[in-house]
Amino acid sequence: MLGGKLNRGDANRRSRPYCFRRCKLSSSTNIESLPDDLLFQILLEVPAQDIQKGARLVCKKWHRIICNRRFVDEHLHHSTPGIIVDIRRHSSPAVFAATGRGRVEISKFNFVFRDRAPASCNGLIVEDNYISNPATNKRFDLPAYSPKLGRGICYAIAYAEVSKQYKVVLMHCSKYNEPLEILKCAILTAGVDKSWRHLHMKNLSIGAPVTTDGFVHWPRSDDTHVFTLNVETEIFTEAPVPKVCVQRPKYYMSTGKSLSLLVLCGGYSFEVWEMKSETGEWTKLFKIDLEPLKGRFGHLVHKFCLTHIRLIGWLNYPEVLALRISASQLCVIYNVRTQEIDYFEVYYLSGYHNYGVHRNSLVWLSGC
Amino acid sequence: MAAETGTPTTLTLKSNDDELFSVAESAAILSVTIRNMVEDGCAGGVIPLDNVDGKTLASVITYMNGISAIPADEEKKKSYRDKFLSDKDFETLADMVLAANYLNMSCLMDAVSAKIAQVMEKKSVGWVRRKFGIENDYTPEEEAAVKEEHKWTFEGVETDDDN
Repeated sequence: MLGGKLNRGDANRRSRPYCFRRCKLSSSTNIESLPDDLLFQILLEVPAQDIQKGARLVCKKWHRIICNRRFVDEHLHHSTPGIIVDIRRHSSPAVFAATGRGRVEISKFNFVFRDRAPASCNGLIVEDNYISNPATNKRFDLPAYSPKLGRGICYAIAYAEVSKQYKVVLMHCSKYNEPLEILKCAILTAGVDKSWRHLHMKNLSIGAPVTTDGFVHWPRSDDTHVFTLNVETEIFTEAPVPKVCVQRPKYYMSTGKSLSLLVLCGGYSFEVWEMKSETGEWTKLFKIDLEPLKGRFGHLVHKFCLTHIRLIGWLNYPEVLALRISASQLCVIYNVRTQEIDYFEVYYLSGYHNYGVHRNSLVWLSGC
Repeated sequence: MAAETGTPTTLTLKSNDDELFSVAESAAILSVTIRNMVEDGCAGGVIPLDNVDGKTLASVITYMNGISAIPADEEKKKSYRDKFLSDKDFETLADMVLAANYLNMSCLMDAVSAKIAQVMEKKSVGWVRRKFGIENDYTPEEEAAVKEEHKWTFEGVETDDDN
Protein backbone atom coordinates (compact mmCIF):
# COMPACT_ATOMS: atom_id res chain seq x y z
CA MET A 1 0.00 0.00 0.00
CA LEU A 2 3.04 2.24 0.19
CA GLY A 3 2.73 3.23 -3.45
CA GLY A 4 -0.94 3.96 -3.00
CA LYS A 5 -0.31 6.32 -0.12
CA LEU A 6 2.42 8.14 -1.97
CA ASN A 7 0.16 8.42 -4.92
CA ARG A 8 -2.56 10.13 -2.92
CA GLY A 9 -0.10 12.57 -1.43
CA ASP A 10 1.13 13.21 -4.91
CA ALA A 11 -2.30 14.12 -6.12
CA ASN A 12 -2.66 16.74 -3.41
CA ARG A 13 0.59 18.40 -4.31
CA ARG A 14 0.23 18.66 -8.04
CA SER A 15 -2.30 20.43 -10.15
CA ARG A 16 -4.51 17.98 -11.98
CA PRO A 17 -6.77 18.66 -14.90
CA TYR A 18 -9.62 16.64 -13.49
CA CYS A 19 -10.84 16.27 -9.96
CA PHE A 20 -9.17 13.41 -8.21
CA ARG A 21 -11.58 10.90 -6.72
CA ARG A 22 -11.40 7.48 -5.36
CA CYS A 23 -14.14 5.45 -6.86
CA LYS A 24 -14.71 1.81 -6.32
CA LEU A 25 -14.69 0.09 -9.64
CA SER A 26 -17.05 -2.76 -10.11
CA SER A 27 -17.94 -4.82 -13.11
CA SER A 28 -21.20 -2.88 -13.46
CA THR A 29 -19.78 0.61 -14.04
CA ASN A 30 -22.05 2.66 -16.24
CA ILE A 31 -22.49 6.27 -17.19
CA GLU A 32 -25.03 6.72 -14.42
CA SER A 33 -22.56 5.73 -11.70
CA LEU A 34 -19.83 8.16 -12.80
CA PRO A 35 -19.07 10.99 -10.40
CA ASP A 36 -20.57 14.38 -11.26
CA ASP A 37 -17.29 15.96 -12.36
CA LEU A 38 -16.67 13.24 -14.95
CA LEU A 39 -20.25 13.42 -16.18
CA PHE A 40 -19.67 17.18 -16.46
CA GLN A 41 -16.68 16.54 -18.75
CA ILE A 42 -18.69 14.14 -20.92
CA LEU A 43 -21.69 16.46 -21.24
CA LEU A 44 -19.37 19.30 -22.32
CA GLU A 45 -18.82 17.31 -25.52
CA VAL A 46 -22.53 17.12 -26.36
CA PRO A 47 -23.64 19.79 -28.87
CA ALA A 48 -25.88 22.57 -27.55
CA GLN A 49 -28.94 21.43 -29.51
CA ASP A 50 -28.71 17.91 -28.09
CA ILE A 51 -28.28 19.25 -24.56
CA GLN A 52 -31.36 21.36 -25.08
CA LYS A 53 -33.53 18.67 -26.60
CA GLY A 54 -32.21 15.65 -24.75
CA ALA A 55 -29.57 15.65 -22.04
CA ARG A 56 -31.04 18.24 -19.67
CA LEU A 57 -34.33 16.32 -19.55
CA VAL A 58 -32.80 12.92 -18.78
CA CYS A 59 -32.88 13.15 -14.99
CA LYS A 60 -32.56 15.64 -12.13
CA LYS A 61 -28.84 15.00 -11.70
CA TRP A 62 -28.08 15.80 -15.34
CA HIS A 63 -30.28 18.87 -15.18
CA ARG A 64 -28.40 20.09 -12.11
CA ILE A 65 -25.03 19.58 -13.82
CA ILE A 66 -26.09 21.32 -17.02
CA CYS A 67 -28.27 24.21 -15.90
CA ASN A 68 -25.73 26.43 -14.24
CA ARG A 69 -23.40 29.18 -15.32
CA ARG A 70 -20.17 27.21 -14.99
CA PHE A 71 -21.36 24.49 -17.34
CA VAL A 72 -22.75 26.97 -19.88
CA ASP A 73 -19.48 28.95 -19.89
CA GLU A 74 -17.26 25.89 -20.23
CA HIS A 75 -19.54 24.44 -22.89
CA LEU A 76 -19.21 27.67 -24.86
CA HIS A 77 -15.41 27.55 -24.74
CA HIS A 78 -15.53 23.92 -25.75
CA SER A 79 -17.76 24.54 -28.77
CA THR A 80 -16.48 24.63 -32.34
CA PRO A 81 -17.20 27.76 -34.37
CA GLY A 82 -18.80 27.17 -37.73
CA ILE A 83 -20.26 29.00 -40.68
CA ILE A 84 -23.82 30.22 -40.51
CA VAL A 85 -25.43 30.65 -43.89
CA ASP A 86 -28.43 32.88 -43.92
CA ILE A 87 -30.50 31.89 -46.93
CA ARG A 88 -31.97 35.10 -48.23
CA ARG A 89 -35.44 33.80 -48.87
CA HIS A 90 -38.43 33.98 -46.62
CA SER A 91 -39.07 30.75 -44.79
CA SER A 92 -35.70 29.18 -45.66
CA PRO A 93 -34.07 28.16 -42.42
CA ALA A 94 -30.48 29.17 -41.81
CA VAL A 95 -27.82 26.52 -42.28
CA PHE A 96 -24.98 25.94 -39.82
CA ALA A 97 -21.86 24.07 -40.85
CA ALA A 98 -18.97 23.12 -38.59
CA THR A 99 -16.20 20.57 -38.74
CA GLY A 100 -16.63 17.85 -36.21
CA ARG A 101 -14.80 14.55 -36.04
CA GLY A 102 -12.89 15.35 -39.19
CA ARG A 103 -15.77 16.15 -41.49
CA VAL A 104 -18.14 19.02 -42.18
CA GLU A 105 -21.46 18.56 -40.44
CA ILE A 106 -24.40 20.59 -41.62
CA SER A 107 -27.47 21.30 -39.58
CA LYS A 108 -30.49 23.46 -40.18
CA PHE A 109 -31.79 25.88 -37.63
CA ASN A 110 -35.44 25.97 -36.85
CA PHE A 111 -34.94 29.62 -37.46
CA VAL A 112 -35.43 32.10 -40.26
CA PHE A 113 -33.44 35.28 -40.43
CA ARG A 114 -35.46 38.26 -41.38
CA ASP A 115 -32.86 40.93 -41.84
CA ARG A 116 -29.47 41.60 -43.30
CA ALA A 117 -26.37 39.78 -42.05
CA PRO A 118 -27.13 38.91 -38.44
CA ALA A 119 -24.70 39.81 -35.66
CA SER A 120 -23.45 36.84 -33.63
CA CYS A 121 -21.63 36.62 -30.31
CA ASN A 122 -21.13 33.51 -28.13
CA GLY A 123 -24.07 31.77 -29.80
CA LEU A 124 -26.42 34.72 -29.50
CA ILE A 125 -27.72 36.40 -32.60
CA VAL A 126 -29.28 39.82 -32.77
CA GLU A 127 -31.38 41.03 -35.65
CA ASP A 128 -34.72 42.60 -36.34
CA ASN A 129 -35.02 43.93 -32.79
CA TYR A 130 -34.64 40.69 -30.89
CA ILE A 131 -31.88 38.49 -29.49
CA SER A 132 -32.09 34.78 -30.02
CA ASN A 133 -30.11 31.66 -29.44
CA PRO A 134 -30.85 29.44 -32.45
CA ALA A 135 -29.44 26.33 -30.73
CA THR A 136 -31.82 26.58 -27.79
CA ASN A 137 -34.52 28.53 -29.63
CA LYS A 138 -34.80 31.15 -26.96
CA ARG A 139 -35.80 34.62 -27.88
CA PHE A 140 -35.78 37.99 -26.19
CA ASP A 141 -37.40 41.08 -27.69
CA LEU A 142 -35.39 44.27 -27.46
CA PRO A 143 -37.19 47.51 -26.64
CA ALA A 144 -38.20 49.54 -29.66
CA TYR A 145 -36.13 52.61 -30.45
CA SER A 146 -38.05 55.78 -29.97
CA PRO A 147 -38.80 57.73 -32.12
CA LYS A 148 -39.41 54.97 -34.66
CA LEU A 149 -36.61 54.62 -37.18
CA GLY A 150 -37.04 53.79 -40.83
CA ARG A 151 -35.31 51.03 -42.71
CA GLY A 152 -31.59 50.47 -42.56
CA ILE A 153 -31.08 49.38 -38.96
CA CYS A 154 -28.26 47.00 -38.24
CA TYR A 155 -26.90 45.62 -34.99
CA ALA A 156 -23.79 44.39 -33.26
CA ILE A 157 -23.65 42.37 -30.07
CA ALA A 158 -20.66 41.98 -27.73
CA TYR A 159 -20.00 40.58 -24.29
CA ALA A 160 -18.83 42.89 -21.52
CA GLU A 161 -16.82 40.52 -19.37
CA VAL A 162 -16.48 42.60 -16.21
CA SER A 163 -20.18 43.30 -15.86
CA LYS A 164 -21.03 39.86 -17.35
CA GLN A 165 -23.63 41.44 -19.61
CA TYR A 166 -24.33 41.39 -23.31
CA LYS A 167 -24.58 44.77 -24.93
CA VAL A 168 -26.33 45.46 -28.19
CA VAL A 169 -25.36 48.33 -30.47
CA LEU A 170 -27.96 49.66 -32.86
CA MET A 171 -26.93 51.56 -35.94
CA HIS A 172 -29.34 53.42 -38.12
CA CYS A 173 -27.81 53.85 -41.53
CA SER A 174 -28.83 55.98 -44.45
CA LYS A 175 -27.64 53.36 -46.89
CA TYR A 176 -28.52 49.72 -46.85
CA ASN A 177 -25.30 48.48 -48.37
CA GLU A 178 -21.74 49.22 -47.43
CA PRO A 179 -20.31 51.68 -46.76
CA LEU A 180 -22.79 52.50 -44.04
CA GLU A 181 -23.59 56.15 -43.43
CA ILE A 182 -24.37 56.18 -39.74
CA LEU A 183 -27.21 58.48 -38.77
CA LYS A 184 -27.81 57.24 -35.25
CA CYS A 185 -26.05 54.91 -32.89
CA ALA A 186 -27.45 53.61 -29.60
CA ILE A 187 -26.59 50.95 -27.06
CA LEU A 188 -28.36 48.91 -24.40
CA THR A 189 -27.57 46.21 -21.89
CA ALA A 190 -29.60 43.19 -22.95
CA GLY A 191 -32.16 42.10 -20.40
CA VAL A 192 -31.46 45.11 -18.18
CA ASP A 193 -32.16 48.36 -20.02
CA LYS A 194 -35.72 49.23 -20.93
CA SER A 195 -34.68 51.80 -23.51
CA TRP A 196 -31.78 52.59 -25.84
CA ARG A 197 -29.09 55.03 -24.83
CA HIS A 198 -27.87 57.33 -27.53
CA LEU A 199 -24.16 57.08 -28.34
CA HIS A 200 -22.38 59.99 -29.88
CA MET A 201 -20.82 58.67 -33.03
CA LYS A 202 -19.70 61.16 -35.61
CA ASN A 203 -21.68 61.07 -38.81
CA LEU A 204 -19.29 58.61 -40.31
CA SER A 205 -19.06 56.48 -43.34
CA ILE A 206 -17.97 53.05 -42.17
CA GLY A 207 -17.83 49.40 -43.12
CA ALA A 208 -19.70 46.52 -41.46
CA PRO A 209 -18.99 46.06 -37.74
CA VAL A 210 -16.66 43.34 -36.43
CA THR A 211 -17.10 42.10 -32.87
CA THR A 212 -14.27 40.93 -30.63
CA ASP A 213 -14.28 40.14 -26.90
CA GLY A 214 -15.74 43.24 -25.31
CA PHE A 215 -15.36 45.49 -28.35
CA VAL A 216 -17.09 46.43 -31.59
CA HIS A 217 -14.92 47.73 -34.43
CA TRP A 218 -15.83 49.55 -37.62
CA PRO A 219 -13.30 50.24 -40.36
CA ARG A 220 -13.73 53.76 -41.69
CA SER A 221 -14.66 53.62 -45.34
CA ASP A 222 -11.84 56.02 -46.27
CA ASP A 223 -9.59 53.12 -45.26
CA THR A 224 -7.45 55.12 -42.84
CA HIS A 225 -8.79 54.35 -39.37
CA VAL A 226 -10.60 51.79 -37.28
CA PHE A 227 -13.29 53.01 -34.96
CA THR A 228 -13.56 50.93 -31.74
CA LEU A 229 -16.26 50.88 -29.08
CA ASN A 230 -15.42 49.40 -25.69
CA VAL A 231 -18.83 47.99 -24.71
CA GLU A 232 -17.86 47.89 -21.04
CA THR A 233 -17.04 51.60 -20.75
CA GLU A 234 -19.08 52.62 -23.83
CA ILE A 235 -16.20 54.82 -24.94
CA PHE A 236 -15.20 55.16 -28.60
CA THR A 237 -11.60 55.29 -29.72
CA GLU A 238 -10.07 55.66 -33.13
CA ALA A 239 -6.85 54.01 -34.27
CA PRO A 240 -4.99 54.55 -37.54
CA VAL A 241 -4.61 51.58 -39.87
CA PRO A 242 -0.88 50.80 -40.46
CA LYS A 243 0.28 53.07 -43.29
CA VAL A 244 1.55 50.20 -45.42
CA CYS A 245 -1.93 48.65 -45.38
CA VAL A 246 -3.83 51.72 -46.57
CA GLN A 247 -5.28 51.48 -50.07
CA ARG A 248 -4.59 47.76 -50.32
CA PRO A 249 -7.35 45.16 -50.54
CA LYS A 250 -8.12 43.95 -47.04
CA TYR A 251 -10.46 42.05 -44.78
CA TYR A 252 -11.22 42.81 -41.15
CA MET A 253 -12.06 39.70 -39.16
CA SER A 254 -12.42 38.78 -35.50
CA THR A 255 -9.98 36.34 -33.93
CA GLY A 256 -12.37 36.19 -31.00
CA LYS A 257 -9.97 38.04 -28.72
CA SER A 258 -8.91 40.79 -31.06
CA LEU A 259 -9.32 42.36 -34.46
CA SER A 260 -7.28 40.86 -37.27
CA LEU A 261 -6.58 42.46 -40.59
CA LEU A 262 -5.72 40.46 -43.69
CA VAL A 263 -4.00 42.60 -46.28
CA LEU A 264 -3.32 41.39 -49.79
CA CYS A 265 0.40 41.42 -50.53
CA GLY A 266 0.58 40.05 -54.03
CA GLY A 267 -0.62 36.87 -55.69
CA TYR A 268 -2.78 34.93 -53.29
CA SER A 269 -0.82 35.95 -50.21
CA PHE A 270 -2.14 37.91 -47.30
CA GLU A 271 -0.27 39.56 -44.46
CA VAL A 272 -2.05 39.00 -41.15
CA TRP A 273 -2.07 41.91 -38.71
CA GLU A 274 -3.61 42.07 -35.30
CA MET A 275 -4.81 45.06 -33.32
CA LYS A 276 -4.85 45.33 -29.53
CA SER A 277 -8.38 46.52 -28.78
CA GLU A 278 -7.34 48.50 -25.71
CA THR A 279 -4.53 50.48 -27.33
CA GLY A 280 -5.22 50.37 -31.06
CA GLU A 281 -1.67 49.12 -31.58
CA TRP A 282 -1.09 46.94 -34.65
CA THR A 283 1.35 44.05 -34.99
CA LYS A 284 2.27 42.27 -38.20
CA LEU A 285 2.25 38.55 -37.49
CA PHE A 286 2.56 36.17 -40.40
CA LYS A 287 1.64 35.51 -44.00
CA ILE A 288 -0.93 33.11 -45.32
CA ASP A 289 -1.22 31.77 -48.82
CA LEU A 290 -4.51 30.95 -50.52
CA GLU A 291 -2.86 29.68 -53.71
CA PRO A 292 -3.73 26.00 -52.97
CA LEU A 293 -7.40 26.92 -53.39
CA LYS A 294 -6.71 27.76 -57.00
CA GLY A 295 -5.53 24.23 -57.70
CA ARG A 296 -8.53 22.77 -55.95
CA PHE A 297 -11.31 24.99 -57.28
CA GLY A 298 -9.70 26.52 -60.39
CA HIS A 299 -11.77 24.27 -62.66
CA LEU A 300 -15.01 25.90 -61.51
CA VAL A 301 -14.41 29.14 -63.36
CA HIS A 302 -12.84 30.09 -66.65
CA LYS A 303 -10.01 32.07 -65.12
CA PHE A 304 -9.69 31.65 -61.37
CA CYS A 305 -8.42 34.70 -59.57
CA LEU A 306 -8.45 36.19 -56.12
CA THR A 307 -11.74 37.99 -56.68
CA HIS A 308 -13.42 34.59 -56.63
CA ILE A 309 -12.32 34.06 -53.04
CA ARG A 310 -14.41 35.80 -50.39
CA LEU A 311 -13.21 35.49 -46.82
CA ILE A 312 -15.91 34.87 -44.21
CA GLY A 313 -13.88 34.77 -41.01
CA TRP A 314 -11.60 32.84 -38.70
CA LEU A 315 -13.05 29.61 -37.36
CA ASN A 316 -9.97 28.85 -35.32
CA TYR A 317 -7.39 31.59 -35.28
CA PRO A 318 -4.64 31.49 -36.51
CA GLU A 319 -5.20 28.28 -38.46
CA VAL A 320 -8.66 27.77 -39.83
CA LEU A 321 -10.29 30.23 -42.20
CA ALA A 322 -13.83 30.13 -43.54
CA LEU A 323 -14.28 31.43 -47.06
CA ARG A 324 -16.38 30.93 -50.11
CA ILE A 325 -15.83 30.65 -53.80
CA SER A 326 -17.98 33.35 -55.31
CA ALA A 327 -18.49 31.76 -58.71
CA SER A 328 -20.05 28.72 -57.06
CA GLN A 329 -22.12 27.81 -54.05
CA LEU A 330 -19.09 26.41 -52.29
CA CYS A 331 -18.20 27.26 -48.73
CA VAL A 332 -14.65 26.28 -47.82
CA ILE A 333 -13.01 25.59 -44.49
CA TYR A 334 -9.31 26.02 -45.07
CA ASN A 335 -6.48 25.25 -42.68
CA VAL A 336 -3.80 27.76 -43.64
CA ARG A 337 -1.10 25.80 -41.82
CA THR A 338 -1.71 22.27 -43.07
CA GLN A 339 -3.44 23.49 -46.27
CA GLU A 340 -6.22 21.01 -45.59
CA ILE A 341 -9.45 21.85 -47.39
CA ASP A 342 -13.00 20.94 -46.44
CA TYR A 343 -15.98 22.27 -48.29
CA PHE A 344 -19.72 22.05 -48.62
CA GLU A 345 -22.30 23.40 -51.01
CA VAL A 346 -25.47 25.29 -50.26
CA TYR A 347 -28.13 24.53 -52.83
CA TYR A 348 -30.87 27.10 -52.98
CA LEU A 349 -32.53 28.72 -55.90
CA SER A 350 -32.10 32.32 -54.87
CA GLY A 351 -28.60 33.57 -55.40
CA TYR A 352 -27.89 35.84 -52.46
CA HIS A 353 -26.94 34.47 -49.06
CA ASN A 354 -25.25 35.99 -46.04
CA TYR A 355 -22.37 34.19 -44.39
CA GLY A 356 -20.94 34.61 -40.94
CA VAL A 357 -19.07 32.88 -38.15
CA HIS A 358 -21.20 31.55 -35.33
CA ARG A 359 -20.95 28.99 -32.55
CA ASN A 360 -23.76 26.96 -31.06
CA SER A 361 -23.99 27.48 -27.33
CA LEU A 362 -26.33 27.28 -24.34
CA VAL A 363 -25.66 30.91 -23.49
CA TRP A 364 -28.59 33.03 -22.47
CA LEU A 365 -29.02 36.48 -20.99
CA SER A 366 -28.86 36.77 -17.24
CA GLY A 367 -32.17 37.83 -15.80
CA CYS A 368 -34.22 36.79 -18.81
CA MET B 1 14.82 7.85 -9.99
CA ALA B 2 14.76 5.34 -12.79
CA ALA B 3 18.16 4.31 -14.02
CA GLU B 4 19.26 6.58 -16.82
CA THR B 5 20.73 4.02 -19.14
CA GLY B 6 20.30 3.48 -22.85
CA THR B 7 18.07 0.47 -22.37
CA PRO B 8 14.33 1.06 -22.13
CA THR B 9 13.00 0.89 -18.58
CA THR B 10 10.04 -1.33 -17.89
CA LEU B 11 7.54 -0.66 -15.14
CA THR B 12 5.29 -3.16 -13.43
CA LEU B 13 1.75 -2.04 -12.80
CA LYS B 14 -0.66 -3.82 -10.51
CA SER B 15 -4.42 -3.60 -10.93
CA ASN B 16 -6.83 -3.55 -7.97
CA ASP B 17 -7.62 -7.22 -8.63
CA ASP B 18 -3.91 -8.08 -8.34
CA GLU B 19 -3.04 -8.59 -12.00
CA LEU B 20 0.49 -7.55 -12.92
CA PHE B 21 1.38 -5.81 -16.18
CA SER B 22 4.72 -4.89 -17.68
CA VAL B 23 4.85 -1.70 -19.68
CA ALA B 24 7.62 0.43 -21.11
CA GLU B 25 8.20 3.49 -18.96
CA SER B 26 8.13 5.69 -22.06
CA ALA B 27 4.54 4.54 -22.73
CA ALA B 28 3.38 4.47 -19.11
CA ILE B 29 4.35 8.10 -18.44
CA LEU B 30 1.50 9.19 -20.67
CA SER B 31 -0.25 8.89 -17.34
CA VAL B 32 0.69 11.94 -15.31
CA THR B 33 -0.06 9.97 -12.14
CA ILE B 34 2.54 7.35 -13.11
CA ARG B 35 4.96 9.98 -14.41
CA ASN B 36 4.88 11.79 -11.07
CA MET B 37 5.58 8.53 -9.27
CA VAL B 38 8.52 7.80 -11.57
CA GLU B 39 9.91 11.31 -11.07
CA ASP B 40 9.54 10.98 -7.31
CA GLY B 41 11.43 7.68 -7.42
CA CYS B 42 8.49 5.56 -6.30
CA ALA B 43 8.40 3.36 -9.36
CA GLY B 44 11.16 0.95 -8.45
CA GLY B 45 9.01 -2.00 -7.52
CA VAL B 46 5.44 -2.75 -8.40
CA ILE B 47 3.16 0.26 -8.91
CA PRO B 48 -0.24 -0.45 -7.38
CA LEU B 49 -3.14 1.21 -9.18
CA ASP B 50 -5.89 0.87 -6.62
CA ASN B 51 -8.67 2.28 -8.75
CA VAL B 52 -8.22 0.33 -11.99
CA ASP B 53 -9.23 -3.28 -12.56
CA GLY B 54 -7.22 -5.71 -14.67
CA LYS B 55 -9.52 -5.69 -17.67
CA THR B 56 -9.49 -1.89 -17.93
CA LEU B 57 -5.78 -1.61 -17.19
CA ALA B 58 -5.02 -4.09 -20.00
CA SER B 59 -7.03 -1.91 -22.34
CA VAL B 60 -5.35 1.30 -21.16
CA ILE B 61 -1.91 -0.29 -21.63
CA THR B 62 -2.83 -1.30 -25.17
CA TYR B 63 -3.71 2.36 -25.73
CA MET B 64 -0.48 3.61 -24.10
CA ASN B 65 1.61 1.34 -26.29
CA GLY B 66 -0.34 2.15 -29.45
CA ILE B 67 -0.35 5.92 -29.07
CA SER B 68 3.28 6.22 -27.94
CA ALA B 69 4.41 4.28 -31.00
CA ILE B 70 3.03 7.04 -33.22
CA PRO B 71 5.41 9.93 -33.84
CA ALA B 72 4.24 13.51 -33.33
CA ASP B 73 1.43 13.43 -35.85
CA GLU B 74 -1.83 14.60 -34.33
CA GLU B 75 -3.92 13.30 -37.24
CA LYS B 76 -2.53 9.77 -36.92
CA LYS B 77 -2.95 9.84 -33.17
CA LYS B 78 -6.52 10.94 -33.58
CA SER B 79 -7.33 8.15 -36.01
CA TYR B 80 -5.64 5.63 -33.68
CA ARG B 81 -7.82 6.87 -30.80
CA ASP B 82 -10.96 6.62 -32.98
CA LYS B 83 -10.09 3.07 -33.99
CA PHE B 84 -9.16 2.07 -30.45
CA LEU B 85 -12.50 3.24 -29.07
CA SER B 86 -14.68 2.10 -31.98
CA ASP B 87 -15.49 -1.37 -30.61
CA LYS B 88 -15.87 -0.47 -26.92
CA ASP B 89 -19.26 -0.79 -25.23
CA PHE B 90 -20.63 1.77 -22.76
CA GLU B 91 -19.59 -0.18 -19.72
CA THR B 92 -16.00 -0.34 -20.95
CA LEU B 93 -16.09 3.35 -21.89
CA ALA B 94 -17.36 4.27 -18.41
CA ASP B 95 -14.54 2.22 -16.85
CA MET B 96 -12.08 3.97 -19.16
CA VAL B 97 -13.28 7.42 -18.08
CA LEU B 98 -12.67 6.49 -14.45
CA ALA B 99 -9.29 5.01 -15.26
CA ALA B 100 -8.22 7.92 -17.47
CA ASN B 101 -9.22 10.31 -14.70
CA TYR B 102 -7.38 8.35 -12.03
CA LEU B 103 -4.29 7.95 -14.18
CA ASN B 104 -4.55 11.59 -15.27
CA MET B 105 -4.41 10.95 -19.02
CA SER B 106 -6.15 13.95 -20.53
CA CYS B 107 -5.91 12.79 -24.16
CA LEU B 108 -7.67 9.50 -23.36
CA MET B 109 -10.14 11.26 -21.08
CA ASP B 110 -11.12 13.74 -23.81
CA ALA B 111 -11.40 11.03 -26.46
CA VAL B 112 -13.57 8.76 -24.31
CA SER B 113 -15.78 11.66 -23.21
CA ALA B 114 -16.27 12.67 -26.83
CA LYS B 115 -17.07 9.09 -27.77
CA ILE B 116 -19.77 8.80 -25.09
CA ALA B 117 -21.14 12.24 -25.98
CA GLN B 118 -21.27 11.26 -29.64
CA VAL B 119 -23.84 8.54 -29.01
CA MET B 120 -26.18 11.09 -27.43
CA GLU B 121 -26.28 13.28 -30.53
CA LYS B 122 -29.68 13.59 -32.15
CA LYS B 123 -31.18 11.03 -29.78
CA SER B 124 -34.39 11.32 -27.82
CA VAL B 125 -34.46 11.62 -24.03
CA GLY B 126 -36.02 8.16 -23.75
CA TRP B 127 -33.27 6.65 -25.88
CA VAL B 128 -30.52 8.18 -23.71
CA ARG B 129 -32.22 6.93 -20.53
CA ARG B 130 -32.62 3.40 -21.88
CA LYS B 131 -29.12 3.20 -23.36
CA PHE B 132 -27.41 4.43 -20.20
CA GLY B 133 -29.78 2.69 -17.78
CA ILE B 134 -30.82 5.98 -16.18
CA GLU B 135 -34.02 6.12 -14.21
CA ASN B 136 -36.33 9.03 -14.93
CA ASP B 137 -36.70 10.64 -11.51
CA TYR B 138 -38.96 13.45 -12.72
CA THR B 139 -42.65 13.31 -11.98
CA PRO B 140 -44.69 14.01 -15.15
CA GLU B 141 -45.43 17.51 -13.77
CA GLU B 142 -41.76 18.22 -13.09
CA GLU B 143 -40.75 17.00 -16.53
CA ALA B 144 -43.35 19.23 -18.15
CA ALA B 145 -42.03 22.16 -16.11
CA VAL B 146 -38.42 21.53 -17.20
CA LYS B 147 -39.50 21.34 -20.83
CA GLU B 148 -41.37 24.59 -20.37
CA GLU B 149 -38.25 26.24 -18.94
CA HIS B 150 -36.81 26.53 -22.41
CA LYS B 151 -39.85 26.57 -24.59
CA TRP B 152 -39.31 26.22 -28.31
CA THR B 153 -40.39 29.73 -28.95
CA PHE B 154 -39.70 29.58 -32.63
CA GLU B 155 -41.89 26.68 -33.53
CA GLY B 156 -44.75 27.83 -35.64
CA VAL B 157 -43.63 31.45 -35.68
CA GLU B 158 -44.54 33.02 -38.95
CA THR B 159 -42.15 35.20 -40.86
CA ASP B 160 -43.19 38.79 -41.09
CA ASP B 161 -44.19 40.14 -44.44
CA ASP B 162 -43.81 43.84 -43.97
CA ASN B 163 -40.61 44.11 -46.00
